[in-house]
Amino acid sequence: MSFGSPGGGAINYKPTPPERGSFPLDHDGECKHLISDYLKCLKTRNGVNDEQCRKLAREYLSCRMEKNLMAPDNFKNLGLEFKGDELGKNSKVSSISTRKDDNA
Amino acid sequence: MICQQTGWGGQPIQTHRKGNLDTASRLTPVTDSRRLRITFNGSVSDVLPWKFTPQQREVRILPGETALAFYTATNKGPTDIIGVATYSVTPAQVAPYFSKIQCFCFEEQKLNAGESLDMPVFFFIDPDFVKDPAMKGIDTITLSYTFFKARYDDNGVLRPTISS
Repeated sequence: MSFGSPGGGAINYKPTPPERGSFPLDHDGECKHLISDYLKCLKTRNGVNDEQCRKLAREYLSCRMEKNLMAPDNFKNLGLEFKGDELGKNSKVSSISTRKDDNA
Repeated sequence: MICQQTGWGGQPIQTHRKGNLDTASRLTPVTDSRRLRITFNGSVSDVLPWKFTPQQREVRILPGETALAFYTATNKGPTDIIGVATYSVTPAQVAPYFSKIQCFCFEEQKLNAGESLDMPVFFFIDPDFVKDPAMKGIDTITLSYTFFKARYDDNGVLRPTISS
């Protein structure tokens, strides 16, 4: 769609695959309940992706990792590390590689 | 889980470096930036009897801040169907800053007849966005995904089907 664009520069970026490939489909809806929590959060904040919503996003991805629907990784590599993580304040969500003893 | 390396139309596409260290440093929100409004579009090709819609109207994110978004795909047809999605970003000049960590595109997604599934996209806008003067006037970015019906051709390459 760069034909005849003013300025002459043809901006033509090819779509690229995602860094980590595709999410496996959650056919059994194993993590589905966490989606609505997250979306509700976004809605109440007019879409602003604040820390509370990001923590819910982390819950969702954490669920996927637990159910083998996502390759496990440290949440630091996913931009979902928060202050207070190391103090165990966010104990509801655990990062796979720093999981301490939990009574799940 | 090995991802297919075949790209659009059979051209192999190199996946981006997995670079955990690299990525982690890019994933620091630029807190003194304005929030960018990301809106979502979903569409399907005429021959694909799917309904495909975004589950959120928008997310407002800082550059460098990862965000999760969802689409719902429903196969309204009588048979199981494989779909494959591609995406585009507008305005086009933002595309190089739009980074997808993981999503549902480029690989086949099979929906059983009548099945409805959540399709997540996990992405961020590269923090270098704020350093580019050409990006100054851009506040809204639209992410559009389109699903096509797919099939494997004689060479075993996944191809979209435009017409039945």
